[in-house]
Amino acid sequence: MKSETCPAAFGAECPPATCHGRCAIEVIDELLSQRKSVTGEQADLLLDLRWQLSRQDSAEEALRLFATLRLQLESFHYLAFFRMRRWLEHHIVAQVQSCPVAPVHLCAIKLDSYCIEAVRRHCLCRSLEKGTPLLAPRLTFAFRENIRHARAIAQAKTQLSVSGH
Amino acid sequence: MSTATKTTSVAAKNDTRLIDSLNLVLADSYALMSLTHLAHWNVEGDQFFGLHKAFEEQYENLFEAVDEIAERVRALDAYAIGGLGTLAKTAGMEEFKSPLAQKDYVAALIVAHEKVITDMTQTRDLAGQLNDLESQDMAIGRLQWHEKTLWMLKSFLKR
Repeated sequence: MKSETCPAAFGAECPPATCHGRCAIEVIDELLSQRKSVTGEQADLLLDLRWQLSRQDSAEEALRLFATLRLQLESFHYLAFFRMRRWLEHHIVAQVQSCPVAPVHLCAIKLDSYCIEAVRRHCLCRSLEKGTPLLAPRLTFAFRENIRHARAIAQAKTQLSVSGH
Repeated sequence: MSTATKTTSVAAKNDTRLIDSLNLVLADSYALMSLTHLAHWNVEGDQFFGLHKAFEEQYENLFEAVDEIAERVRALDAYAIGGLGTLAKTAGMEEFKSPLAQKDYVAALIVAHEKVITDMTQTRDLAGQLNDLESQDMAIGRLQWHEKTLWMLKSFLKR
């Protein structure tokens, strides 16, 4: 049941299991369509999150909005937030560098905590566990699809330069 | 006059789509049974006794279901798929790792039941199209149970 509205519905990197779950945008639409399920302020935040997920400009901002909304609404809409949580875990990844010039390592995120800083710390700890020495670590969150696009562009540029164009 | 029993249409027996569909719901049911068993073992918290017992009833039902579905495949002169790797790959269900919050076990199982319901609905409709009323009846029975279980699990999460 792959959602047509899923902005990150991309082949191999999106395991079939994630596509059986509902897309986060669909879940937000469902929440917004339920009468009296959210306040006006919460609806604004949900719309902001929806905008971020459809644009995929800032994974950091998407996670921040999700954390704010989760604190306010999860106890009333547990399943909806579980679906969003799973979707975000599959579509957002942490990019970790041990120092500014070091290569980027990708680290899966776990949204077990309600605070984005805790997620950041968890990713750094996991990088340390893998033996990466963190000298002056950098960590940014990114949508997997954007990383895939960036890699494809870089690969195409390399091929062009090799072929002499 | 033929004395042979002709309950299942020839079209159903010769149509690999129905066999594939039945094998898919077999894999789904097996994967869901395994996840439910895992939840039964590892659930913790203030609702332990209720959830532990409910999950036990659910995986026992699923254990009977996989046998019923596999034997239906055999009744259609085809072979049932098996083996943990094949079943997991065919089902394509997201597996969870313990420990989880007790509500997360319930939510993850809801998502898994929804996947089974989607595939079982297709099996029911395909069996109907091919006039295989026995397979259709079995799929309807399974759908009723999954929908009832879904209602119970969702009710647990309601505040």
